[in-house]
Amino acid sequence: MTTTKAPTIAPPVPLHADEEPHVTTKRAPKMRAKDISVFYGDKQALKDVSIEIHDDRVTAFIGPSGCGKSTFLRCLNRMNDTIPSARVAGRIELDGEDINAPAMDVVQLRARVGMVFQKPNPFPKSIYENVAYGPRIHGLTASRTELDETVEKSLKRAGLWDEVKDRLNESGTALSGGQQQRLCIARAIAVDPEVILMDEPCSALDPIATARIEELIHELRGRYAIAIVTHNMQQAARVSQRTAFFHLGELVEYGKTSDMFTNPREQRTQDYITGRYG
Amino acid sequence: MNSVASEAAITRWTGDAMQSRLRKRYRSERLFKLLGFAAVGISLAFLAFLLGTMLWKGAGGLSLGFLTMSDSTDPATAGVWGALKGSFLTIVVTMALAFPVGVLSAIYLEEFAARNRWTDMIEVSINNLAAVPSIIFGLLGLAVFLNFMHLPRSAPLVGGLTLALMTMPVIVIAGRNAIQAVPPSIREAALGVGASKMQVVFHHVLPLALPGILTGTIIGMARALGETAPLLMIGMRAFIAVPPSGITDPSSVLPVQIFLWSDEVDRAFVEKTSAAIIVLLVFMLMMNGLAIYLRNRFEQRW
Ligand SMILES: Nc1ncnc2c1ncn2[C@@H]1O[C@H](COP(=O)(O)OP(=O)(O)OP(=O)(O)O)[C@@H](O)[C@H]1O
Ligand SMILES: [Mg+2]
Repeated sequence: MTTTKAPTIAPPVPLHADEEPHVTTKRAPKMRAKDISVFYGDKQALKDVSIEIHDDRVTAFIGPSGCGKSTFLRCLNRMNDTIPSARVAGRIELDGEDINAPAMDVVQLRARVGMVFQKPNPFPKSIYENVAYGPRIHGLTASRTELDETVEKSLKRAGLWDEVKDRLNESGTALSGGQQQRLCIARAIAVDPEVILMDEPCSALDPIATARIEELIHELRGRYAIAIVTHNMQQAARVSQRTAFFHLGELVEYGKTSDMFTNPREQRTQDYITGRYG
Repeated sequence: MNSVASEAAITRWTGDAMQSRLRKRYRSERLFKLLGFAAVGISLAFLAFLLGTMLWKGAGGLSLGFLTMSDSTDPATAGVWGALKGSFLTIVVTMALAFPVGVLSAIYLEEFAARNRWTDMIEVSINNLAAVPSIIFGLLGLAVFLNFMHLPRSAPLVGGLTLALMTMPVIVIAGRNAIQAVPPSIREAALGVGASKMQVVFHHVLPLALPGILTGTIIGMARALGETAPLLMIGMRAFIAVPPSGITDPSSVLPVQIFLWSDEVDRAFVEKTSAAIIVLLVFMLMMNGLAIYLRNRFEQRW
């Protein structure tokens, strides 16, 4: 379907970062991906993608379904290692260190680079255990009360606390889809990672929960480097300072969110943002 | 053809043609239910027949003395205590060996081994092993445990070892299927918060796979408990009048005892045979009951 309406570009809502004084482009990026190509068997899913992710800003990944956003995100914490047919070429650095080097401990890498998956995947354990699991296996808390505090804080930040505080011992899989996704967010931030990768965290959420997650992203910005995949242009415009547009496995355009949404360099970006295809 | 018609006319959901199609569907559904019921009925009838004849023939032979005495040449003083104890000791040895080794193999093959020609070959071999007739395992036990390792003849230790060889492949196959059935998203979730491979397996995969593993184990154990042929091969057919006091003492087991008694010329042993069958069935029932109880307990953990 084509819309004949004049392209209404998503409102350039208050643009935070780059105008703020503490943001400096000169700082070294938290993560740097260089010429990343990913193959599933013989099929190439990503072609020479290079992106930098900074810890004082949010980077949004947008693009039509199947263009490789999740695939790229999963490269950043080596989640693609778990897919036997997947092969990743290129260099990815975390704080200047090659994450694919033999010296890199993949277990620690995944603790430092946390992930919220596209499909909610809570453990079939209690709500409490879901959130407590990460801190427990890494030995982040010294006592039970400290662990309780971490669980409560994480659930509050994910906007789930009020709904579950009286039933922390119930199974996490008994929650609704949106609640499960917030539980997964709480689980990811409970280990206090340095980078958080969120793959469409709000796709199953109502507007209120979505607003809560966006608030959380604002709150976490500056402490963590955040990368978020979203199909919602308004959301990308609201939460991010950098946007990357993917199309058919290629990184078409990457730049300041404000520029992307008001004045994209590429025709394909313009078409996607204004809803001509996707 | 159909699509053209549906484009031309609106589907008439309440029309006669639709009603008769609907009735036809219900008819085949009823037929299927009936067939299923008949299938279950046949196996139930056989079970009832077996239990009925055994109880009728053997109930008279069941007595406290029958349960506390051991084998004897005189039917009046022959009992199953020795064989029962032997069966129990044998199955304990089998369980202690086959369960941990089988589960560990399943975990290793599913979670840690690389997928290549070697693991494919191992998979085929294990599947074949599960189908090997039990008498072959008896010959293997005879050759390895008795003739080569010189373990005591007729002992529950050797019987248990032999039956463990036979049960292991069954547990490996059931374990692998149960582990495969754990959704990959759970593994990803655990890896995503920085769990190591072993933590993923022991904290998440194994608890979810345990009910399936236990089901396979129950089947394997029940088969081992009723096994006769391989135990004959390793000498558990001797006449033993003293119950074993340990796993290295000469002993009999229930199925072999039944086999031996059924061969006796003395008519009085017919009753003994049926009574021993009842004891064996009750023993199996108790073991399966315990296993099912354990399985349900683990299943309730979410
Ligand atoms: N495990 C896999 N095996 C084979 N091909 C895969 C696998 N995962 C993804 N792909 C392919 O890689 C391409 C990119 O997939 P990806 O999941 O990264 O898309 P996406 O941009 O996240 O899409 P969406 O917005 O629908 O989530 C697709 O063509 C997909 O078919
Ligand atoms: Mg995706």
